[in-house]
Amino acid sequence: MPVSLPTLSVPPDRPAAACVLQLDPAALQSLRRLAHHAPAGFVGRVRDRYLQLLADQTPGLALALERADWAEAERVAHLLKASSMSLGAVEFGRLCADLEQSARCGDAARVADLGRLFMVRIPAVVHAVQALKDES
Amino acid sequence: MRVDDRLHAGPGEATGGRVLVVDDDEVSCMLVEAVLKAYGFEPVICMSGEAALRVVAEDPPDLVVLDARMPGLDGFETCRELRGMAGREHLPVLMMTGLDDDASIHRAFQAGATDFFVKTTRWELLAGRLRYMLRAARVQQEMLRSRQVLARAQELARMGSFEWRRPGPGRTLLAGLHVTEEVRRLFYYAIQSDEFSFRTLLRHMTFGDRHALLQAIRRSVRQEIVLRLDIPLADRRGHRVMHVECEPEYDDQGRCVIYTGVVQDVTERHTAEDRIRRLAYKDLLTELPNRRQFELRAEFAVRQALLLGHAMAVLLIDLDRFKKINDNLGHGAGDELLIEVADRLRTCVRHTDPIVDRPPERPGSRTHRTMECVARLGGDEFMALLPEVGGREDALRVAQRILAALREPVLVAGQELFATASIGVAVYPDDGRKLPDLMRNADVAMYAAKEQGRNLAIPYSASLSVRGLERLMLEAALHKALSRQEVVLHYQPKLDVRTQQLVGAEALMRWQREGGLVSPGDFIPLAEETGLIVALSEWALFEAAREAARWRKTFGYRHTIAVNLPSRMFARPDLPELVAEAAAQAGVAHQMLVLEITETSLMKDLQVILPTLHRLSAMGVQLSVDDFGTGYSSLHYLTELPLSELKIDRSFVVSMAYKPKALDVIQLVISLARTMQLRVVAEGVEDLGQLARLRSMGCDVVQGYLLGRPMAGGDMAGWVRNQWPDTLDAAPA
Repeated sequence: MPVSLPTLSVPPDRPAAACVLQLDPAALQSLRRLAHHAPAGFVGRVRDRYLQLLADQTPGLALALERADWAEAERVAHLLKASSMSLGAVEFGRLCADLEQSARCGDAARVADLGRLFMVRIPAVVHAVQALKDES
Repeated sequence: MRVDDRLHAGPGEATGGRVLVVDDDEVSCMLVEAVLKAYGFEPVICMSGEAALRVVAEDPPDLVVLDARMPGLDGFETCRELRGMAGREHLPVLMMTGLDDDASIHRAFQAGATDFFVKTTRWELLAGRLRYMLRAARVQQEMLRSRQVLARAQELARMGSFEWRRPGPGRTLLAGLHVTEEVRRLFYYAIQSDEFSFRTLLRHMTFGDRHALLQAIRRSVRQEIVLRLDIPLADRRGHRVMHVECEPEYDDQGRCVIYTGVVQDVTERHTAEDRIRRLAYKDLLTELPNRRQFELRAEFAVRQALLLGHAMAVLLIDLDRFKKINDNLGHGAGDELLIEVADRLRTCVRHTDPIVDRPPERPGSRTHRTMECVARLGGDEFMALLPEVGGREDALRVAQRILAALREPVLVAGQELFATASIGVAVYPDDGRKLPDLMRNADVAMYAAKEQGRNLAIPYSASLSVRGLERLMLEAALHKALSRQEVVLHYQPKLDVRTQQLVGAEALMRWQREGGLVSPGDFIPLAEETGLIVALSEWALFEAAREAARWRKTFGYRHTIAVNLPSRMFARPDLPELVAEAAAQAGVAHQMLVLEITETSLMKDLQVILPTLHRLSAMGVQLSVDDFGTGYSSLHYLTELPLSELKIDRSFVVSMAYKPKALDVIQLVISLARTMQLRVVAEGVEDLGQLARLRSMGCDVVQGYLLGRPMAGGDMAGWVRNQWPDTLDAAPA
């Protein structure tokens, strides 16, 4: 199922880092092991749901950062944190965790920094996750 | 094998748990659902806390997995709400989140979560945790059910449990006592106190029981042994008994740290045991201690008397003529009398009612005094135990008090009765050092009191025993006397006063023992007492008949032979047949036998023997009243009786010379007999003056040493020959 991603502006200071992401092999192995006991196409369904979630929540996060709505920022970060890690985007998941924690603490400067980083990493995450396939 | 492998049988195996997963993260939900299915769980997915609460309310799962952070009701609030729902207090809840800070963990447990799980990509860990939780929940459920069953069983058994942690130095003895609700309920029921405390308990115990309890606790703590005792509690409504049993438990170093135990209300068991003890140790009619209880108490009293060196006494109290009351007024009246007597006896000593079923474990210097009592040994026999007396005089004073108490009339069956008693007193150590000796000697003394006229208290003395022993030997010898032909009849002639001719003879029983003759006064009462008198009387009847036949053959004897019979023989309805048989066997007419009965016996049992008297008279057997004038004859009855003869007692004849009143009595008896057309026989005529006087007064027949002493049957022919040679000459060869 094609996923439509929002148009995001990549920060000019780290363009290269935003485009390359290696998914965590252990997490992927765990996911695939799980897929053995699930109906066929399980990995694909999880992937698509994650990408959809990412697409749904990213605009909201951007808006929250713009408006300094830390509670909303915290909520979105929390929502994406565990899912991202589960699909192997461990670094991105940790970024979400940091963002969630900073937003909860009301650390505006750090939230702004992490928010920008979040936006930078999105394409790489999407790219990497999109590459996930069910084993034949 | 890895830990994980041990924890889980592996994915694909059924576990059977229905798990509610609550998470707003759809991806997490998908993954968790897959994990749960892979490991055999049955997942139910909810995306919010509100939806989860609805599911839990309608169809509760076996376990709930809650995401901590959710929009709306978050995991913590959902958990709190869930715990507030009835019946969901023990539903296992796993709080799952990406957060692993201490604050969240603490918050989760505060909200009522069972466990906490930080989200991870290692899904088998989640499955393992859930399995553990389910297993623990099931164990907990079983434990709760067991506890409920135990509580119910304890409630039914009136039982509860407690723990008692040993107090540290400086703490009060029972500071660490923790009791279950069942124990509180039991004690509330027993003493109606909302507040359960050791102090409250002690307030509901007697001094002695309190002392025993504290002593037992101290001993148990000191020696680290099992504590097992019954605690009697009393309040206004009555009393209850709690059984407490606990044992020490030890820590790794072997130190006794705690006592665990049970409390059980054993009042009903105690009541039943009391009833059994009562049956075993009490006389049910009078509620006095029975023989067994008396002996237990008395044995202890003897031991204490030996230890402490003082005297003690037993008093055997036997009611006089109780059998007569029983026979005449019936057993109901007899029982009434015994109850009244028992009540009076209670007041004469310091009687204690509580049953003693074992000797006191640690008797004090005064414990034996609590043994003092009156007991009913059986029938009309009571026994008093005086565990400490100054001496024989003390015991006799109590005996006199008893006699005085019984002197008051007793109203039984609408009649005033006088229940006197004969009391034998035996004192330790003079009259015996062992209880059986004391009891036997009290018995000997009591019999002496009976012999000396009853309504008396006699102290034991060795001479009484000698007499008792002689009596026993005499009784044994008397049993064999008949078969050894030691019993014989001697005959005393009866002569007509006017003609001086032989008109009959009286048969008198003699016992030839060890070369001498035993006086009838010594053995006849004994024979009556032992019942041997019946056999002796029957033998006398047959022997007299045989003698009559021999005399008829030897010297043509045609007169009568009088045989003395006791009233119990006249009470036998077959006496006429017996007389006829005796005469028939001997080949003489039964009219040759005269039956003598004393005036006292005649009047005592008149109603019983009257029919027999009439039948005897009808068949021609003459009846003679012996010892006439010594009893209390009713003239009315005398006119009704089929009598032939009155015999004036020898005491009147002997004293007629110097006692005008004796002469008056003789005159009266003769006049009476004449009026009633009865023959008068005077006994004990020993001189010519008496004979002349009796003749002048109109007496018909005389007997006595003047005219002829009692003699063996074989001597009668010679005696007759000497007296009336012509008569014998005329007799057939």
